[in-house]
Amino acid sequence: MQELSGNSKTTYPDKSIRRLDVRTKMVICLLSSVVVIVLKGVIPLSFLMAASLVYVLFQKRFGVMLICYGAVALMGLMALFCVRIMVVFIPEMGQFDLSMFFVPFLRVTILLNVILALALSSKIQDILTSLRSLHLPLFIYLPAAVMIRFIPGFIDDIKLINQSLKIRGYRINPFTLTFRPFLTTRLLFVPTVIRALRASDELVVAAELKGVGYSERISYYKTNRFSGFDYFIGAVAIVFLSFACLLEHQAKLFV
Amino acid sequence: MIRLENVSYTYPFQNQKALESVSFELRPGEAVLFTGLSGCGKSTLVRIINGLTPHYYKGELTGKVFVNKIDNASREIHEIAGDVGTLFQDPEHQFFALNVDDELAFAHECRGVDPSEISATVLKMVKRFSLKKVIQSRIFDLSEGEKQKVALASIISLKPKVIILDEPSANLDPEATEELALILAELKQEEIAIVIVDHRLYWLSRLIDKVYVLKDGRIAESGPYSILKEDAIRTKYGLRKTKIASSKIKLPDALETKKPGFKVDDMSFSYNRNGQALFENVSLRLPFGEVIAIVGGNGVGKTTLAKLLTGLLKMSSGNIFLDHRIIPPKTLLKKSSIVLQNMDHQLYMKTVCAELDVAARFLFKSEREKIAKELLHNFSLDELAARHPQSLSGGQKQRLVIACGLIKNPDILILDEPTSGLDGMNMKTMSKMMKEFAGQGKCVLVITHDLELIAEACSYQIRLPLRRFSGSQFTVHG
Amino acid sequence: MVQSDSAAANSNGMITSAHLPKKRYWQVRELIVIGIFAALIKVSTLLIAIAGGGMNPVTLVLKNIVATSLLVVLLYKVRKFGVLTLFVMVSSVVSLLLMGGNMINSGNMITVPGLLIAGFICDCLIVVAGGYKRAWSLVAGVGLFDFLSRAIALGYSYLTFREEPKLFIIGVVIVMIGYLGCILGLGGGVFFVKELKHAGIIRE
Repeated sequence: MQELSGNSKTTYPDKSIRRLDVRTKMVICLLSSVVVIVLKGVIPLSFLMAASLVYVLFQKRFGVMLICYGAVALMGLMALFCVRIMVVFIPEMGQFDLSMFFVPFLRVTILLNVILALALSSKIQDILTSLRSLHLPLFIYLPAAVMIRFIPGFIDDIKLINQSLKIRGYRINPFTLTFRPFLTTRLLFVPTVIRALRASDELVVAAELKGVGYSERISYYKTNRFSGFDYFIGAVAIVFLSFACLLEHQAKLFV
Repeated sequence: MIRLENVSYTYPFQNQKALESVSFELRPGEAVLFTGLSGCGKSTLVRIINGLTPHYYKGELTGKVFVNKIDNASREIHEIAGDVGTLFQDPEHQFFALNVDDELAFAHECRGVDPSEISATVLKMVKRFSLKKVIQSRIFDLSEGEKQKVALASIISLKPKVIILDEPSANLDPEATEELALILAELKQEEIAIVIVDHRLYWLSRLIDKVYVLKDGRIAESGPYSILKEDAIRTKYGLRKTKIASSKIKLPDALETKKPGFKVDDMSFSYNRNGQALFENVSLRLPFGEVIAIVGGNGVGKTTLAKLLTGLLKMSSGNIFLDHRIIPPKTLLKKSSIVLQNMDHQLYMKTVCAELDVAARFLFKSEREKIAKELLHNFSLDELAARHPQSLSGGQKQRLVIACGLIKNPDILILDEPTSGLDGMNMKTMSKMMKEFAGQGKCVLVITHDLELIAEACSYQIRLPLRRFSGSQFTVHG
Repeated sequence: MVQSDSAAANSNGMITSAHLPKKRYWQVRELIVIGIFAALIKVSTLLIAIAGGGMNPVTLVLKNIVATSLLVVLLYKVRKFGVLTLFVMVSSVVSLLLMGGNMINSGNMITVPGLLIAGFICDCLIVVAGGYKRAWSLVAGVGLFDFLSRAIALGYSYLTFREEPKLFIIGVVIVMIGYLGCILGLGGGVFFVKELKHAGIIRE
């Protein structure tokens, strides 16, 4: 019989970053978000980029990471292209200088790395346990739990609707979305919304019949607990971020 | 345990009573069955017992409803829920969590029960309902029978004195239905009162103490289960059979027929490259003019097979032939229609007319209008042409979706559980429609657990997992 | 079993009337509807972006039309002060758990407090503009919420790209194109509510 232990993260056989509690990863995201905005120097940002790259590589989801980097790179190239065009037509905007893009690029990459590290290691079915660990009041916990419950459900619904549309001879792809946007959106989303509304009615009935929402408190039978590894990685993250801030401060002193 | 005294009820904004002068009594450890045609008031009765009506659905209720000797009018729904547990037809719609153990715990968490108590309760229910193998599974990965067990376990863990089951066998295969009957028999022995609302009758013979047949909101017949065995009563009230020949279907295999039709040769398919193949070098025949049942347990690939046969999914290898010519997937898609179980996924437009129009958009306008008019008439949808498809009843939606499927005059029509939750009369209507369409020289495939429908309409079967023919021997695959 | 809280279930798991708390502000029905719509908006916008391409201006507009329409329907279903604020809170919590925040639309964790304030301001606007019973005040509230949330995201974007303001300007252009979708979505939401009423799915 599988134990219903208090610490019930999906266990990974290797000692990877995926073992980390989601709250630890969230704190790393938060701190990184604040620090990268504050930092301006190339060296501290490059240091953090290297550190965050190592952090995300531990996820060992190289295929997905490559796709995400590819998508961000594509968007970056398109942005560069647009800037180039802008400079040509509006010379008052200044010269096109590639070096000025380096710092924003570093910031985006650091944020991408820490977010990927969180996103790639989070299984949606484990998110409810993470949600419980936050000990939120019912008026946030219940809708958040429902949201988590229905995200995969709606994705499945849309897949089924897409298949039904294929049978009827409709294809949902970038071409149809671009050239017949309203019809395509209607075909895909009207059934989804109606399903959602019916699902909400049914779930409300189920909630009433289970007596959900009538107790003054909620209890959490299965929550995550911080492990030694969480404290260690958290400390490492704080040290790295502090070091980056120190590098920034040193650079300012020497300028 | 339950007592209704002369209860009548009218829904908001309706003139006609949904229930009229209903009285009955149910003692602990008793099991009753409410049955009747669709729209006779069975679901309304369920809502009255569990307090949804009038507390949630409002409306006008007269008479008295007592549960556990307390008047429902003096209690809120959640208080009544302490005594009454309700299991709806689609248990997935009652789930709050993504995992089995989270779902079993959810209601207790929301009631502030101590975590160690919750753990103990969850383990107890897992043991009782044999859910050990699936305890960490996602609810989406469960079979219908497993989902129902989880929902029932979740309800039983709250220790109700009455359990109401609304169409519990609708989505279950025969084996899961038998298992459910055993579970309910155990609950009866624990002095829990059981109310069952169902169209399928055959599985209840050893469980039910009393039967009530409803018609137009009134109790038209009542008595022991044996009253349902009378043909006159079943015919009068459009009920299903109380006995089926066998839970094992004895139809010829579609593979063995030599009749003209589609031929599938050496079909292989697997969802993952490295994963186990769902189908491996299997061959089938889909004869024209026949209704073929696709049967098998949950998860064996019935819906996947349907998708392969219509070109929605591509085979890893193998071909489909018609008159010795290979039919590519794109052409197959044009020659086939699938009607899925959930109608809401297949209705998109603002009116019934617009729905047919969109389904027929590849035809010329004049032809489109003519065919649409014909189909509206054939499926008794004329008067509903301007209605929003989502405002139709379940049966009307089903007819509309089938009409949209037929508008392209497919050679293969596949129906996925078309009679789930249908009463006897409507099941026969569906059977007739399928046979008529097949009679036009088409091939009709029906994915179903409904043994009565199979006996009524089908002439061949495709039983999954499929058998691979190699030389002179059949070997079972899967 | 030790009862640690008098308002919890008794030893049989039953809630009795003696244990009932005072009536809550948020009813269970409303919380569930908010959760479902938050899931629907998240899934819809992500899928349109993936299916149509992130930088495709048509899908950018479409994504915002769908999101805003759904938000209008949500406010129609849950007509209570604080619904926008609570919606933001719930969406943010789940987004943070799933993806550390949504880098594409609303910045990330740093923007959450700003978004909550924006939601609160818009809830107040709805009250001032006529209350939750009036359709146009709901529309005005959602319109302002879309505007403020994009302004906050742009603020974060400015901090990220401040060394090269031209990138920020591109961001502004993209957001403006998206906001066009929001404006269209306001009308779309009203029409969609009418259709849902016609279908009998939403009733007064």
